[in-house]
Amino acid sequence: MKRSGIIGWTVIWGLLFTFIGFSFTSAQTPKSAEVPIANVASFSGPYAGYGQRWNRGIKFFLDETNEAGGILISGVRYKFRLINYDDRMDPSEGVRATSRAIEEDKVNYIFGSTSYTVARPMMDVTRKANAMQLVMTGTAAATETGHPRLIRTIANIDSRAEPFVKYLIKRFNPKKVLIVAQKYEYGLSQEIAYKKAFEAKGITLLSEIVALKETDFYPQWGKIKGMSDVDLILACPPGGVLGAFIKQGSELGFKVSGRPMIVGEAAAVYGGFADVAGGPANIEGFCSGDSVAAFAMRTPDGAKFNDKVKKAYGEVADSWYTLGYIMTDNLIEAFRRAGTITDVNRVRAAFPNNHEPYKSKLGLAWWFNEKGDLRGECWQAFEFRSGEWKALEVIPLEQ
Amino acid sequence: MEQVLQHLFSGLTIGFIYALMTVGLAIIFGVMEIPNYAHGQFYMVGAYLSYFMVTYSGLNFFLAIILSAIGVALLGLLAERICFRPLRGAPLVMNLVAAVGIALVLENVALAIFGFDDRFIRTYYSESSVGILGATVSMHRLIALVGSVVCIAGLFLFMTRMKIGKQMLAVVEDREAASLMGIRINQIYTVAFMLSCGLAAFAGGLIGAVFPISTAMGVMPTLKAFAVIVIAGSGNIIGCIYGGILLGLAEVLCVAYISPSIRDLFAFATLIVVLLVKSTLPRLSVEK
Repeated sequence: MKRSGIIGWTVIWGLLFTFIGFSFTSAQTPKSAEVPIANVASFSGPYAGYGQRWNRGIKFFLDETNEAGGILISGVRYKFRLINYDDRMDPSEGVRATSRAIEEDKVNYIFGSTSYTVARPMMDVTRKANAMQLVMTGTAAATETGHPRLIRTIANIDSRAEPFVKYLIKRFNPKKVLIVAQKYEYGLSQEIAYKKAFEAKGITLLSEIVALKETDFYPQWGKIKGMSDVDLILACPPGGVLGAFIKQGSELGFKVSGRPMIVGEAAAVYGGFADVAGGPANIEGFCSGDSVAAFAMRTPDGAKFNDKVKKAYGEVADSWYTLGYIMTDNLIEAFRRAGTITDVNRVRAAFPNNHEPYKSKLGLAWWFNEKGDLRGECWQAFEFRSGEWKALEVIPLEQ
Repeated sequence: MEQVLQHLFSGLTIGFIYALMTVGLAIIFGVMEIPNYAHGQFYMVGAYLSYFMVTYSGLNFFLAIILSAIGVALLGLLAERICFRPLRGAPLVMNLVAAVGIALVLENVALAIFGFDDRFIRTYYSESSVGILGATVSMHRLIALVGSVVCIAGLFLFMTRMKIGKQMLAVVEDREAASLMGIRINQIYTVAFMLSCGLAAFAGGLIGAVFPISTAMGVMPTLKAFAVIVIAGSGNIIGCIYGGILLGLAEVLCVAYISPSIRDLFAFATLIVVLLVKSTLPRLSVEK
């Protein structure tokens, strides 16, 4: 064979082997894709603490998933990119951010928002755009939208009110209760739900509605002073605002060691409550539901997660961190179960349900009902005495 | 009766804090014609600085609020030199954008340093209350009330007795004429901005021991202060003081006796009516 022929054949065989090699490699290495996931939350403004912590929970899980190589679905390896939008607790800003996420960033899965006031108008946008919305705030039947792709991480207020009222009756046996709620959709839903639940047990519920951003509760305490027969106050404002309410009551001579008892509803354990209410205020008989974090911390993985949060941010992994983390875990599990990421309706249908719950990485078994409400959640009652939190008992919610 | 007194004390405390906020904003607006949207953030920084000095350095509360007012006044000097002075003569919207920028920077820096949780200035008398004519008032509310009254009185003396204060009033009345009279406008601008920021910080420090401190705490008082200025008139410093006090009183009395739902509506309606009826309020003016 001529020298040029040898070279020619070598080149041909070389190219052939290279081609076969490439084909073999590409058959072995799946295609990869990046899925944008949006988080519309309050990163500034009064709910910034909740938004930032919830966001960190989501980010922790997505980072872990990406570091583990993403998830493999139908030969495609998906990794996730989190895009954050600050709604500043402003409903119109929330709507704008949601539209931007869907139209410009082509997002199908949207977490949001930290406040129901913002989450509610966002629902109209996500429903219209066939996107999935994962709401991290408590919701109420009074404001149901019939959104087919809605997932909610805090049980519907109506499902919480009844068991919590049962617990309060067992513990305090009140005859007349005063609810202090904030004037916005969710606060008013709390008032409606608790009124129904207390009245079903023959207990009168008075209400005192305070402005959303109110921090001066002297006028309310002035009125409470005149309500001599109220023996239990169910205070719904969150965190530091609740702390201010209790502190100001204590300034005016309500030591709360006798009656009326003050019971906080949700989100009280963190968010600056203790710093504002203060140890010296000596609030007795105070308890609050804040289950997820407390539950998660009891599992080995939960404890590890808590250590990770402490290391990164120097604080305890409260329910916002854990809710964000577990919710993202459930979403990724739904992708796996659905075998798709692009078909949003199939992903929604594949969310853990009562037939097939999912035990998340933190050890909590969650499932969602057909409306998208979280089930399998419990409340943890706490007591705050002399500046220290003490866990009381677990209040199971109606399933 | 005790309850009425209780609400009056409460309303006066909030009212005087509003007055401090409003008068600071009115000075900048009157002298420099800048709608300083960042005023509430200077108030917030004042509260955080006082919190930091009391909580971490163990400094006396009164000393802490005075030092924080001085610190924020210096911050104001910086803001005036870097952001507003180069924009002198620029359209109003440019100044507004600069103010929003400062507000965002201050809010986010505070968020990064102090985190998201509400804070509270705690002193050894935080839990103490005093009885006045049968009404119970917490020690810190009383301090806030007395502190703001003293500060407003001091401001009044500064504006009417000191040369620089009189010059400031002259600029508020007629900038061009004041300039022709040899008043150094640049110096007045700087002093006005520093004074305004210092007043906001002083109010923030006082209120930080009464209500929770958060990065968003300055937004609502600023909006209310703007509304009071619009109703009272930008150059009308006494009107702004009355307006602030009246607003606080009306808010508290509305929540206590009418309904919290219409608090702002009631408060502003009362303010408009009173200021319209009482249009003969004395004005601070420069001696001719």
